[in-house]
Amino acid sequence: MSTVESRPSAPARPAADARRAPGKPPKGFDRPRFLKLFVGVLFVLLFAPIALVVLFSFNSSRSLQDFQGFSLRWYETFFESESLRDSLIASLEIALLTMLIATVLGTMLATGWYALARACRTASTCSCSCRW
Amino acid sequence: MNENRFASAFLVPGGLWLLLLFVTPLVLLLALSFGYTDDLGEAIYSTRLDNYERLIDPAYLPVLFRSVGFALAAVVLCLLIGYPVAYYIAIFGGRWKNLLIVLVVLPFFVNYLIRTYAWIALLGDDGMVNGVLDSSVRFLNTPYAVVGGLVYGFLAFMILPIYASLDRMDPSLIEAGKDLYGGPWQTFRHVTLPHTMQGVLAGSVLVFLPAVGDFVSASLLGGPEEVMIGNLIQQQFQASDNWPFGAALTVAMMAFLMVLMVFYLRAAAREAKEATA
Repeated sequence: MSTVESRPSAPARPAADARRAPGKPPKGFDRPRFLKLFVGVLFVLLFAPIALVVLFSFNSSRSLQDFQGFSLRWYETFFESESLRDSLIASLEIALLTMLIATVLGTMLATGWYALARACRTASTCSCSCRW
Repeated sequence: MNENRFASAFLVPGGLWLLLLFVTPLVLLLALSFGYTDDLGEAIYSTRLDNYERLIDPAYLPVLFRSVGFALAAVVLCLLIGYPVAYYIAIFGGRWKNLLIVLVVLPFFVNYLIRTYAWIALLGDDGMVNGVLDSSVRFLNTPYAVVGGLVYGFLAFMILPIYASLDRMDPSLIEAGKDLYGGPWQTFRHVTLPHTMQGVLAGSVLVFLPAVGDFVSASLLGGPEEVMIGNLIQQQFQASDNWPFGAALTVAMMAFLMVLMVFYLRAAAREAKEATA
């Protein structure tokens, strides 16, 4: 795969191109049209399934295969069902609690570990066994 | 000394948490892998090696090989797809760089399970693709679908580290390579690739580890011929209710992954040393 693309038959670059504007690729780089296409195709593939899910959430029928007209039917079903609403709330509660615990414990671990490692480095005699 | 004690105190809550909820289950799992199930299907702790002997059973060995094969294929494909993408964003992204990286990460905020279900709708026997093309290609229940699902699921783990190492690299190195009459391929082979090897290694590990143990892709996109070790483990813990054997499978897989990790860490340390030298 030739990621550093350069066509040998390319005409001599105009002098203005040598002065690189910020955000422009450095000189000696050709505009990689193939690479651009490749990235474009990949993004389409990355988002296609998600776009499909969003689109078919508005489908009036049960199918995930053929779109039979726009409707908010499934959104109504979702918000009318008490059990589905409860499960949404439960998800949010669990996520919030997880975030709180992980943030507190994680921050403490990170700062503690960092301070301990630094204290060990600076101390002339290391009194702890934190050098991993 | 005082500072030391203060810092140590900060480690206690998180350390206890990990000890209780990470180390303990792991030890229990290891102990259980030497156990057996009694006539009622109850798991009993013991010191037998039966479960490990079963691992090399002809019924299970192909599953292990297949898992590693699928995961390796996913790593190679992620590398072939991810490297050019990371390269384009890092070198040619310009002021769109950050936006493009966000776009790479964005799909991964959507649950893996949901994204995989969406592929079923797209690629199913009477899915969208076959509908639009008016064809009847069988995409699902093939090894390609499972590997494709893994690639789709873990691609960002490959792109991000490679992007980071490309972004750190000085582009004038590539210019220097070209000034020395290096062709595109030579410049890439001798300048760009060695300079981004750390990213490639990190990305490969980050894709391989979750891919080899994955069961979502194989159970949703694959058929009975595409069972992976993750599915096998899940089966033991749920359908077959044979926890000791499931534990043995898990321990064996973890041991295998740890051996790979040692190789990775050694290679990464060597790359880091070369990068600073």
